[in-house]
Amino acid sequence: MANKPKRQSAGGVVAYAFLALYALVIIVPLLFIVFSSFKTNEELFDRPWSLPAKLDFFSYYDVLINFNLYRYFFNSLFYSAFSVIISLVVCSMGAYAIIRLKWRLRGLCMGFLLLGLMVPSHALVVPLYIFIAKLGISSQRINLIVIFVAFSVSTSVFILSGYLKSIPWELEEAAVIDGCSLYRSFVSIIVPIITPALSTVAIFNFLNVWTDFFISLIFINDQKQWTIQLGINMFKGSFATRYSYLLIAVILAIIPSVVVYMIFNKKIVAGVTAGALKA
Amino acid sequence: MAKVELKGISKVYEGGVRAVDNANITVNDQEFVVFVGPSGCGKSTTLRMVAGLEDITEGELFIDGQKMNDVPPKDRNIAMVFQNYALYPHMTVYDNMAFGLKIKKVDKAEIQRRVDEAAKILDIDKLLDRKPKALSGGQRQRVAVGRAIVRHPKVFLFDEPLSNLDAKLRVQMRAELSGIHTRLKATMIYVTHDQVEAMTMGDKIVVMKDGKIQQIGAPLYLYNHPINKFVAGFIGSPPMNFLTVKIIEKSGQIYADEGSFVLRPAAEHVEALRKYVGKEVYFGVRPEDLAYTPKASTSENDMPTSIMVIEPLGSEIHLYIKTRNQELIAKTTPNYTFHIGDEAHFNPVMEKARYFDKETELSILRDQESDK
Repeated sequence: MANKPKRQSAGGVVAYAFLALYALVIIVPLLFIVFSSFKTNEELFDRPWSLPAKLDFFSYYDVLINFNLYRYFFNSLFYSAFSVIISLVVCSMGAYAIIRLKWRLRGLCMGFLLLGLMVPSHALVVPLYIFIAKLGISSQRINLIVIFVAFSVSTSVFILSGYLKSIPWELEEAAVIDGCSLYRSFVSIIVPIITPALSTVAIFNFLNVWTDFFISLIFINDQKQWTIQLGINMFKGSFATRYSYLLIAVILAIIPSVVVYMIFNKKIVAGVTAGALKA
Repeated sequence: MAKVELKGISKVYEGGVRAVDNANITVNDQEFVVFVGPSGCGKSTTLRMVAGLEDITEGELFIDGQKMNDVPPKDRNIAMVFQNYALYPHMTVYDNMAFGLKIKKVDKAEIQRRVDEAAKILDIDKLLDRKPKALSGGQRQRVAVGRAIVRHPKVFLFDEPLSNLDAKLRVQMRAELSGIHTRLKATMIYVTHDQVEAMTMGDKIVVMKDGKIQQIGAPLYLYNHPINKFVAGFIGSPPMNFLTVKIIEKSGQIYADEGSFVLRPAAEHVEALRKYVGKEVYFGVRPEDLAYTPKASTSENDMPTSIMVIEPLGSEIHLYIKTRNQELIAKTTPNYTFHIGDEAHFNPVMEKARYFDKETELSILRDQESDK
C-alpha cells in the first residue's frame, strides 16, 4: 500500500507558521548584520535592505589585524576556557559534597550558594572592586577569571545538584564495594554520569563569560587584556561610528557562541531536564 | 569456608530509631540464608551492616571468625547485588563486570578469564559489548550477578534483586540463582519481602519484624511450626487464617468454641490448651488445611460457612468464606462447583492447626515444638 502524505491538523499548521515567523525574527537580523558588514556607511543608510555592492574582505582583515580584534578574541577565549574549566572542577566537587556527603552544615551551605541566584551581579560590583583591590593580586587576568568563576558558582551548583540527586545511591555503594575510594568513585563513576549536566554548566558559563561586558569593563584597564566585547565597544565612536567595522566585530563575537551551542545543543536540553523523569 | 556471624547486632539511627535490635544470626559456610519480612522490618539494614555500607551501632560482626565491624566494605571480601542493579551506565557489560577487578589491579588476562567464565554461567557472553541501557531487566540483573561472581567473594549479598522484574522472569531468575548457589557452593545472604522467594530459595529463613528477629529456621519448619502469629501469617500463601475461639472444657474434654461451631483439638495439642480453659485464643489454620465437605457432616469439627468470593486459579480455587462471625480463606481443588452465597462446610485438619495466645501472640504449642 502506498504511503499517503500525512495531513497536518489546523493546530499543526498554526504551530509551523508561528515557528517559521520566529525563525525569521532570528535569521533576518543575522543576515542583515552579515550583509551590512560589507557596506560603507553611506550604502548602509541609503539602501539598508539591499545586498552589498561588492564583497570586500579587507575590512575584516583591518578589524582583525590592524585594530587587534584577534587579540581580544583570544583574550575572551582564554578567560572563557579557564573560567569554565575551573568552574566545572570546583562546582562539580562542591555540588557532590553538598548532595552526596553527610556533614552538618551542608543544607545551610546550599542555601547560601542559592542566595547567589537572587543577587544581581551589578549590585556587587563596588564591594567586589574594593575586595579585589585589597586582595592585591596584580594580574587582571587572574582577577577576572576568579570573578567569573565566583559568579558561576550558584547556577552551576544548582544545576549539578539537581542532576546528582537523580543518581541512585546504589551506584556509589556498588563502587565502594568494588573497592573505589571516594575520589575514585567521583572521578570514575559520578563524573561520566553527570556529563550532560557538566556540558550544560560549561555552555552556560561559556556564554556568560563570552558575552560579558560590564565586569570586564570595570576590572580590566590594560587594553592588551580587553575582551572581545570591549573590543566591539571600541568601534562605537563618540562622534562617528564606522558601522561595517562594528558589525564585523559583532559577527566575530557571535561565531563561538553559535558553534558551541550547535555542538552541545542536545546536551543542554538533557542537562536541564535531567532528573525530571525516572531513567 | 565463609561463616558469617552476627552477635547482638543493633542499628540505632539519629533520633533513637532502632532499625535493627539485637540480631543474632549465624550463616554457615555455603548456606543460602534469606532475610524476609515486611517493608521497614530492618532486613536490608542488617544486610547493609554485613556489607559495611551502614555502621554497626551495637554488637559484633564476624566473617570467617574475623571481626569486621570497622573493616571497610572493600576489604570484607563480599559482593553485593542491588535491587535496581546499580550497573554503571557509561560502561559496557564487560567493563561493569571487570571494574572491581581492575581496581584490585588483577592481571588483564585473569580479568578476561573470570569475566568470560561468569558470562558463560549467566548466558550473557554475547552481551559483553553492550551498555546497560541496551539490556532488558532480566539481562541487567544477570550482569549484576555476574559482577558479583567475578570477584570470587567469600559471601554474596543480595538486596531484593528480583523485585524489579516481572512475575514470570522472577520465577525464572529464582531458579537460576538457586542453580548458581549450588554450582558455586558459596555463602549467600538474600533479602526479600516475598515469602515465596524465601521459601523456595533459602536453606534457612530469618523472619524479621520491626527490627527484631521473630524466628530462624528451615523453610518447612517455619511453615509447620511458626513461633508466633506474625510468622504464621507471613509464611504461606494465601496466609494462615486466624479465628478467635474460646477454650472450653466439657466432661473432661477440651474444645475450641468459635460461637457458631465447636472444634475438638488434636490429642497432641490438648495438654498445652488446658492452661487456657475459659480464655480466648487465636486458632490458626492454613487455607490448604480446610478440607471441603460437599454435605454438612454430623461429625465433629464441621465448620458451616457461606461463600463470599470465588477465585478460580486453574489448578486450585481460593474461596473467601465467612462463618457467622469471622472471615477466612480456603483452598480447594477445582473438582467442585461453587456459587457466591452458597453454604459450604469445611473440616479443618486439627493436627496441623496452631493456637496463639491472644495477648502475646506467641504459639501456645511452642514449648512442645521446641522439644522436637
